[in-house]
Amino acid sequence: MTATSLIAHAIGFIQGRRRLASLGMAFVLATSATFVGTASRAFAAANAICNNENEQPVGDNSWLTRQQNYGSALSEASADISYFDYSVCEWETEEPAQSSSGAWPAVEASVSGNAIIQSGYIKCNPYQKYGCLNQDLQPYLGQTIAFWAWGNNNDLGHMPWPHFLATVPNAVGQYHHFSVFKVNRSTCYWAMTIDHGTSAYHYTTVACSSLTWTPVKAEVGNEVWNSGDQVGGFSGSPQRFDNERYLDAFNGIHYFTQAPQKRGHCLPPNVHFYYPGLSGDDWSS
Amino acid sequence: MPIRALEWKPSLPALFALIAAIVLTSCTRLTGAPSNSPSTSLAGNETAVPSSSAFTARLDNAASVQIASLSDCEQLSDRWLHGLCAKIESFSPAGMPSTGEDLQALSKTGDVEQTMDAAYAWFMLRGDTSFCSYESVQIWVSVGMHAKDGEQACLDAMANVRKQGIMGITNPRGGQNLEVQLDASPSSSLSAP
Repeated sequence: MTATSLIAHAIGFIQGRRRLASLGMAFVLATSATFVGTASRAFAAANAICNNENEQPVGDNSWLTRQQNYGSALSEASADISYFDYSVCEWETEEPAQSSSGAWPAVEASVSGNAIIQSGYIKCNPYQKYGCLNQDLQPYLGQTIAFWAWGNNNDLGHMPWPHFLATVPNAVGQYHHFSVFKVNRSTCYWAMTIDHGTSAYHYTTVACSSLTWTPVKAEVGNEVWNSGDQVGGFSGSPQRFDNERYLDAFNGIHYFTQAPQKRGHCLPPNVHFYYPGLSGDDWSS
Repeated sequence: MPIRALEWKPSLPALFALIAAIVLTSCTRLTGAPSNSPSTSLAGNETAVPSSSAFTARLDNAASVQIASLSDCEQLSDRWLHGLCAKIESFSPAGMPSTGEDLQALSKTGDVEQTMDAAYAWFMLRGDTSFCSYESVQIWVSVGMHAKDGEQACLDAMANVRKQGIMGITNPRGGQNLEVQLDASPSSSLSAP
């Protein structure tokens, strides 16, 4: 046996063990869910195994969303969202093309797509192929961090790839304020921020002139890229959304009133909504 | 009337040439390299630009700089755009991530967004849509645009930008903007700063 084949065997052995470990974990989760009843079933429903079928060839995503069409230009979308250490999927035979979980407020064009400006949480699965390729994300794979993204429709040079914005304290339940807002002084730009107005403030900007569209729709979302990824939380300690609001061009405040909806093709099988109020609620599981 | 193809009686050399062409095409596709030649023109009534690589850069002070060679890139104070500019100037398709595996490998060693943007600009400058034939590009576009058909989405986007005549590439951290001029006659489409 050559040195090369020895290494290949060793890698194969390690990968085999990893797959077995993944299967074992999935079995434990599924078994636990059977015995402890409904409360934990939602957690187990985070479908621990990656689904490579729902994202073929690649490019699929799904999200729970509250959208509000305003009709004229917006100047801000924001929300207070609690930290959550999402469970991302485990692969069996092949790494998924994409896998991540996150939550964010955003402004968009009237036609949804890549015309978006957003900031929020994201946890990139370290075992995926193509979703989190950017260099600034590499040190934080497998960790819930703050991200920013913006893009234009039908524009290869401006696709809304997630980028690193800030690390966030590993404190489940702690709120962070995410906002995207327009600043129109000597220059016009949009800021993508976390914890605006506090010492932990982080932001990045995009010039208004770089956008080929007008932000007229506000959205708050909880997004996954694989049906094995977990949306925000489970019934015992869910990720929470508060003060979900958007500002019109005259800084008039509007709170989201639309009920959460499911969008996309790869949501986990068990998702439920709970939103008791207009501005503060938890609505995903 | 007999079918014309059935009447064709190829010579042995012609047959060998045909087989060689098929084998070469298959191998090329298996390795993810483009299936079109580099001189492929844009779809529809678009006109391919020959080998022009001049482009303008918008600076912090709103001035524009004509980039005609690598040394001009030094005028860009923004490090990311400076790197992008140099990548465009020195780009060679031979060094482009060709497959999905190449793309993954690049994410561990370099800046995927800047590299793909540089490649995109290089191909756009030449009106060359074979950019969209790379497996790496199809995956990159599929994921970035949430598109099922990455190649078609890529072609549509290239045609869209081509119509505009200028493509913008922005430092993703809110910095300067590179404007790559796509018109064959440079003076006609330079943007005002």
